[in-house]
Amino acid sequence: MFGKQLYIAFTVLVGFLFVTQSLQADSGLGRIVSFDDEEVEVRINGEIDYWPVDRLGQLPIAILEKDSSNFVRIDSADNVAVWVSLSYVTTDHQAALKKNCQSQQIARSEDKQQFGVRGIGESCEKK
Amino acid sequence: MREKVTLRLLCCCVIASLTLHGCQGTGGIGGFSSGLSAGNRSEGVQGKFIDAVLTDLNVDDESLSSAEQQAAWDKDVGYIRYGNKTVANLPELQSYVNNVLASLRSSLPGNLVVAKVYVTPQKDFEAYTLEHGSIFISLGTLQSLDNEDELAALLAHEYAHVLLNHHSKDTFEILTRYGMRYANIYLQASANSSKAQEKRMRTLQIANWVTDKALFPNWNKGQENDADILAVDLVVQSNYNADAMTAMLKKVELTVLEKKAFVGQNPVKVTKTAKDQSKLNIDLDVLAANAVGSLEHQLDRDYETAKVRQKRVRDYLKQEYKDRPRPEYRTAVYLAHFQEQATKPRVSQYLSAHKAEQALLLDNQGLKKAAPLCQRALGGSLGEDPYARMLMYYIRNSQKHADKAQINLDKAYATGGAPMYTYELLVEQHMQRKQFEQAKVLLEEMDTEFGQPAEILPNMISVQKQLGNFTSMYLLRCLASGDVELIKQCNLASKS
Repeated sequence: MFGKQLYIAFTVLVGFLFVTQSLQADSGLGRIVSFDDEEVEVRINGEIDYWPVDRLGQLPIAILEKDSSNFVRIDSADNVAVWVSLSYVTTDHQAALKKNCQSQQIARSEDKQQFGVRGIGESCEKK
Repeated sequence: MREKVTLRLLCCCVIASLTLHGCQGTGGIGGFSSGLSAGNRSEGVQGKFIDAVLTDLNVDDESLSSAEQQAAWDKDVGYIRYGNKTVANLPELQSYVNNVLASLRSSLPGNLVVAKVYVTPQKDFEAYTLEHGSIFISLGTLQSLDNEDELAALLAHEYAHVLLNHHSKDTFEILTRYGMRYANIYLQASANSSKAQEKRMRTLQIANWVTDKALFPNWNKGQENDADILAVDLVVQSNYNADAMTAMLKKVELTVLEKKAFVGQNPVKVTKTAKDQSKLNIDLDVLAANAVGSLEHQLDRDYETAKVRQKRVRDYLKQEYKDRPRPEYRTAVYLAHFQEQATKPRVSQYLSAHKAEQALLLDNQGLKKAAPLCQRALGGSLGEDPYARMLMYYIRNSQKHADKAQINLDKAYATGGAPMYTYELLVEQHMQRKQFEQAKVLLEEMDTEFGQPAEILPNMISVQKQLGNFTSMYLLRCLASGDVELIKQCNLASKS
């Protein structure tokens, strides 16, 4: 009996953790998948600074928030909320566009439908 | 023998005079010290690059009147039509884009250099600046930008080429690239064979890129660097968010990658036909292969360069503008211009034409899908748009609907803004029907509209000869081109 309750509690806990992790990782804002430079421009408390990439943590890094001036908020390696300039990083959205651009021409006739809708000039457009 | 020597001497003299002419600054927007155009000047500059540029600027007191300036810009428009492009019918959007350019220019002291932006209907990401200070930016580019700051960054880069007087250095290069033009003509001609329609369209797409690379300014790395750095200065001084520069360069990187993939997966194989051989007495296979090979090489270089350029921009921003204001991107105002009453339906029509092109490129059933899409593009105010008309001509021609194709060709021509390809097709038709007088009128029109293009000369000589007129003037122009293959064709035409 106690074992069954423990099993249910464990399952619920695992499920909760899974859902929250997924939500965090896939907040719709994407993740940082690579750094474009050895150091990255960051903003902390309104001040601009330049951090070595290892200070930001292991890739991929979930994007928690996006502002309108080219910065995204992440939790750094030492758990500090920091705003990172998009000029210095590649997000999975950009990487996906690149992948689409590369893969569209490899498409064979059977999967043409899948790739055909985003061809040259369109596949990399944002809207 | 003596005649041959005289001919060669004459040829050398003409080429020499063209070379000298090509290296001089051009009248339209001259007035800068020639050292500015060399490129990579920003490399060793201490402090902000714009300060060094402004110090070197030598204000031209004899500025052009507005009528003269417009005439100069019209020449640039003629040039893009020569490169088989057109100007879009989007006056309100074009006016907005020019306003953004004006705000960039207002950050400069005085009113030094004028430039004008034209919007072209093309779907590809492309922007370029021509000799007289015209900046051409495609609708596809405007669609892929996300905000006014990115537009400002792109325009600042193009305007920097104008400010730095880069165009004068390229004049001669353009003059010597007629060979590429033949590659394009050949690719287009071979595309009319019985190949599958989608394959034909892909070949045409690559042929167009080859022509673009050949005809439109292909600045060297140093010039691109200088334009990027100066653009950063202009963008910051105009209170835009300068991070848009890297955002815009990331889009350039994507575009190059896209083209690289397309060219890599669609190898161009050309097959000579008896007709082509007799008309152009050159090894077209080699020419076309070289042209496409050169395109691939240039795209490889562009891709690597795009990454390096981003790094350079970031470093410059960090060095000179670390504490710059970082305003919010002007997204809403940018998108609102596409929703304006007059603009929205027209943009929608052009996008429909883009979809038609897209269907032709990548879909087995492309022709069937493209026809109604293009029909939609031709409705309403775009009815007489040369870009949409020529696309419809291509579709109807591929469907073997000769009469309908002809209607579209004639309407494209009647717009007065058709690309040179339209005229070439009509001349060809008249010549086949032995309507030499009509062919002559068209050729003369092409001569005026497209700035005396050399490749019309064989046809001109042939037609004038048929009409019993003198051809010596055209033969001399042929010699002046310095293009051996063209000279051969002119000789053939004069003997035919």
